[in-house]
Amino acid sequence: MDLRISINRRRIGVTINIIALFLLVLVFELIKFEVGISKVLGISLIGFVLIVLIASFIYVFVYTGAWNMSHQKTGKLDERQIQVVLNAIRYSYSIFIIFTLIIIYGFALLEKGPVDVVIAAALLYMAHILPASVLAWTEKEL
Amino acid sequence: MTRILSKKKRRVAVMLNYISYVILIFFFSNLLDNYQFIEIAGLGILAILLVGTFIYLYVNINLWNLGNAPDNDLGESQIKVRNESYRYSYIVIATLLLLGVICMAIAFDAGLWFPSTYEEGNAIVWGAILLTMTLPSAIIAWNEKEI
Repeated sequence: MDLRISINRRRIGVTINIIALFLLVLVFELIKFEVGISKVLGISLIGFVLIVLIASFIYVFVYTGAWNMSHQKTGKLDERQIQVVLNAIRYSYSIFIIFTLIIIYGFALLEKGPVDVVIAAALLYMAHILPASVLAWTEKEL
Repeated sequence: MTRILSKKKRRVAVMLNYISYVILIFFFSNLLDNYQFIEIAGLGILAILLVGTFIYLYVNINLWNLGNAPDNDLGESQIKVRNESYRYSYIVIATLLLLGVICMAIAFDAGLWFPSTYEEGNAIVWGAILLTMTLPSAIIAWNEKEI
């Protein structure tokens, strides 16, 4: 289902989605290292943030078709769409490598052991939504 | 003066470039406890190979420009080639990252080698920087018939 959603709303949706992802990881890490948050409050927060994350994901990426477009095989897209998607992937690449290098370097410096499963899952999710986010953020019409 | 390299030469240089870095790091972390002459010589050769293949591939050749130049400096077909290489790079990096995280988690639990010191962490980070900076150009070098 491809809904027409204005670029401003899409940008707000993308921002909310990414902030929710950061919050989710943050709360997990706070619980893990037992810093300033009780387990009950932490789990409630995680539940709330998860709902926001899923809702904003559906609103921005599923309804607009950005997810479909960024994950479609190039054979099924027309020439203009291919260029738009590839351009979005190019920007995503830059953002993704900067972000992951910071995380890897941060963990290497802090010597906090391996990157845990929540961060790994968040990075994987991010790798998938970044091209769709760039599309939702930059394209006037989706 | 811009050089032109055959596809075969480019592929060999790309492989040597990455392999020399991996062996260099292996040397650093495992073999350099006593700093014997032979080890230092080996390290020097690997470092020269790493820098040499980098210069051979990316200096005075259109590859680096093709992989990193802004759209305005490239033609339409070059932009197409460049963007396609970023797509492959993105897939490679995301997959490597995921595999890396899984390997780290398994190694940590099973007591296998795991980058735990500052030097080892640094080696991984510099490797990641080398890989991510050069990968789009390396993919162009690997795939394109003529550059």
